[in-house]
Amino acid sequence: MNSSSSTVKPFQLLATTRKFSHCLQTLDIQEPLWLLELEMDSNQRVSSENQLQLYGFYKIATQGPCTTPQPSALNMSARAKWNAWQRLGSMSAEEAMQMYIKLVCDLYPSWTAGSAVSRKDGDGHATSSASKGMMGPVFSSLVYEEDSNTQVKLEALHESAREGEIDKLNKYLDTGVSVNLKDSEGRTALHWAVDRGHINIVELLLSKNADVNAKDDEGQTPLHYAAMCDREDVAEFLVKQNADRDVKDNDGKSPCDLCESNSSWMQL
Amino acid sequence: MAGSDSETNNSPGENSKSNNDTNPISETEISIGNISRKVQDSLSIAKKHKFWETQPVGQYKDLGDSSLPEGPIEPASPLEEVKQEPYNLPSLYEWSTCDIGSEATCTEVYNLLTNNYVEDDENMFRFNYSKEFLRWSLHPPGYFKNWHIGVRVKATKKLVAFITGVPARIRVRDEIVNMAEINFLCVHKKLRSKRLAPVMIKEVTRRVHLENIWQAAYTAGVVLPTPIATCQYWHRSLNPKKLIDVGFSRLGARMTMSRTIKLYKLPELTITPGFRKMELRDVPAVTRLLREYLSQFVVAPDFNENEVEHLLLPTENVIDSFVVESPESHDITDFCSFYTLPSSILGNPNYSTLKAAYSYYNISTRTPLLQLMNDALIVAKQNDYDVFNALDVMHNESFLKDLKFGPGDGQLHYYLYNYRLRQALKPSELGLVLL
Repeated sequence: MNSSSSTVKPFQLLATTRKFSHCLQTLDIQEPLWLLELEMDSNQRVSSENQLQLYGFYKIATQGPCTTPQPSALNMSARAKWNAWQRLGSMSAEEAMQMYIKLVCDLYPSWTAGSAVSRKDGDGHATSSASKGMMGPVFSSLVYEEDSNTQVKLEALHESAREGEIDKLNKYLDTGVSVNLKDSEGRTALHWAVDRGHINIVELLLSKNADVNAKDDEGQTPLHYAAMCDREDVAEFLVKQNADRDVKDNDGKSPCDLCESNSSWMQL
Repeated sequence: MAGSDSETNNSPGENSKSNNDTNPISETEISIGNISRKVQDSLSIAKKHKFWETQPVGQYKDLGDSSLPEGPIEPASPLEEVKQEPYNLPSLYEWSTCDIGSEATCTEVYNLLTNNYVEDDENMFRFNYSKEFLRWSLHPPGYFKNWHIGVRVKATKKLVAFITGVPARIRVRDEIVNMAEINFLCVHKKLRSKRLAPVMIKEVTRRVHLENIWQAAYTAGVVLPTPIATCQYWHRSLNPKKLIDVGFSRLGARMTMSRTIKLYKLPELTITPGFRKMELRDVPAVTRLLREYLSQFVVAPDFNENEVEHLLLPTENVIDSFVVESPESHDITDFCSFYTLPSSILGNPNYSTLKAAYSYYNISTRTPLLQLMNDALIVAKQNDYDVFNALDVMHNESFLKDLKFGPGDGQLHYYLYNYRLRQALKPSELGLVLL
């Protein structure tokens, strides 16, 4: 059995359904992401009856009870879907979500088992869900990652600097790419390495004659980044490599102005 | 069988995650974690509901049934009909009333919770309620010592499970109801298979009944029959670098740490003139403000001055409260508060504790709520909190997005025991925060 494809697809599908719970109260979900048939691979066909059930739960979960007029009998597919939605009556969105998930679990037993295995805490994993089951508070953490509002375009050089991938970085530099190549926001690989705190990459880039005082589009140098991110070891190294401590960014701020604590690199 | 096969065939997403815990986790994986919880919930729901179907709680099938009256589901019984003996525990265990006022017992409870209480889905964080917090939250005016219930191993006297109730007057529409707020249900990790929780819930219920109280309020992260409201947690980063380093938050591939830090920067000093810490002399004014403010919600506590003094007067590292005193009239016009609930960070080499502030009760009559809460954020940042959390209850939704709160993966369902509401409430109709 081709297990990797048959487990990944339901994951993606369920990742979508899971967003129901967050989106229901705050967002207006757009018309059907439900389309399960698109997600099914050929050796895991789901009966049309099950598909219709899933459709009904999806509609309840996203839109509540069916209030639209019954489609014409000539439009068989629309009619069947409408029936599947309408017959669930006033079922709650919450329940519909759970029914949806339950049904997907029934259709994909492997999915459930897979998710249990993924729990890190070996000791507690068999029982931790039961512990949450009864009552009490909930630990919640942020859903969305911090992201840029604008379309930032990075080159492979910046990506390997960001990820701390020293071998890849060397390889790109060997192809003759400029060490001071800028991304769409004017940042060099050195900016990215400093931002993520990869001191070994910072050392490598400077040994390849990267501009230690390169400015991004906001006029900030790598030392501004080190100061902002409170990366003392990186800042100290940059200063020793002749980074300018007094250079002002477009807001008129020097690296020292951005640093909250009085760090040792300021006194070097 | 597909089920047995899959144990050896993890999806690629899982592998990358378990092999590389320190990398930022992609959104898909986070979603999978959440879905996995949902699935676990839905699979165990049948079992749990067997218990809850025997209890006087709103049942799903009754939702929207307008022929059923709102109010108590079962009438109060004569006290002599309440079972006088505790429920039976499995033979190796015994009931033990926990005196939180005793330092030794409080330490035992603290240790049990610190090692076994609520975790996130990924088992990266576990609540770490402080001892001061336990004493504060379990000793409100009129508390009952024997509602703080432990389960011990008979042979060793080791504390292995805990549940509490505290009395509260909660108004539902026009009726003020004496209730118990049930909290801190915790069973030692090694005993989770013993199904102690249902008997613990029954026992605390019995002890509540013995005080002639027949209703309770509680919350849960899972759906039980039947929520009166489903609320969403929101989080405002105060120390984004740490939150990202410990996996509470994640950094997108196109986003810099530097810009993220800039995004969440706050002014160093509060903005509102007359914003200051609440003091004992403010209790009457704060009580008046709070009673007036809470009267607009469908379900809200009914606080008197004694309770306000206990629950809202600042206690270091437990509860912080601020008032706005008008510089001209010296009237108290606004109020905000948050409680301190740290969590242990599990398995991180650099950090051991996440310091979180949780929005409690906030009232604005003159200062815009947005500005008031921004000052609350500033104070929290001054005091080294990493994150400020708030539910979308009361008027909170009006400031969450503007103040850069992001949605959390946690939903909190609110429940009433033996009290029926015909319809579920919107979070904004709820004026109650349980600790």
